[in-house]
Amino acid sequence: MTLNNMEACNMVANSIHIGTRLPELRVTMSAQKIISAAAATRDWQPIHHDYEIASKSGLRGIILNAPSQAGWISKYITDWTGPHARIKRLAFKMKDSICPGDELIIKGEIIGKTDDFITAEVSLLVGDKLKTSAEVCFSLPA
Amino acid sequence: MLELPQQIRDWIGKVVVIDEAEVAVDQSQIENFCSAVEDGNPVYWEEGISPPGMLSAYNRPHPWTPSRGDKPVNRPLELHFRVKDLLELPRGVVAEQVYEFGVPVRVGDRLRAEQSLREVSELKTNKLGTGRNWTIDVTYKNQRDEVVGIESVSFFGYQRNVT
Repeated sequence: MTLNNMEACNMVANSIHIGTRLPELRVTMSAQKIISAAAATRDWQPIHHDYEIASKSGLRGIILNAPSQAGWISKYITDWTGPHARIKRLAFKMKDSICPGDELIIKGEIIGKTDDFITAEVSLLVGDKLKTSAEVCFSLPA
Repeated sequence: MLELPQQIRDWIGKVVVIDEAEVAVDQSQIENFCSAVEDGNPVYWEEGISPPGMLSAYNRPHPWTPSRGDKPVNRPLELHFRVKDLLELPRGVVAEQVYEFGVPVRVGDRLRAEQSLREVSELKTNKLGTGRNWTIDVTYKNQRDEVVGIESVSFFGYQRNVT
């Protein structure tokens, strides 16, 4: 999905139904992506930028921090809906680390809809291993 | 420690740590983040709105400043560390993270973070060890005292079981 796709896509709430699957997004994580996102969120914990310290902590490498995961998840939703979706709530459980070299697969499905809000279940996987599960509640113009 | 220390009981439901951001929200920080997560949303690039993932970013301290050197007034999630220390639980993992969003965060805003302890569980044992769950709520407000978001982080603090 690109910005050009997003500009062409301005969904309204009426066009979304429970069971709708969002298109899959694949992105290969790199040290640059992980470090630049950690720095942008002012998160200086060494496990997000220092391989040696991450490795001594028993990790496979530096790991994607929580705000960056929130960033990828919200980007995934608004790339699909268009920019006017308003994210109201984002809940996620990080089950395993995401490291450089991992090909991250982001999948989503609409699981709830009320007059005001739409809820999507979003999964971050590497291969078939679930790394993070999330629920995103958002609103769209009617 | 079977009994919850009185200090912890006194903290439950109250704002214990108030943290004033060292930085104001600015466009270059927003663009750095959006570039890192490849988010082309024009609301962030052109309208001066901060993306949801950056809610907690502005209240993280600089690594160093001329006035206080490398000793920040508060660590990020300071209250979590105080709880962990008082409970004498050396290890901790995040079980769940929830963000709820209020009025948008905009360029020029300066945020205040109010940290409170929502709850602490009884002692429990799982495959990691023996410890307790607790949840820290951080309410972020702008300079007009409007709530821009609440970040709730649930932890499991534990000691490894001796086998």
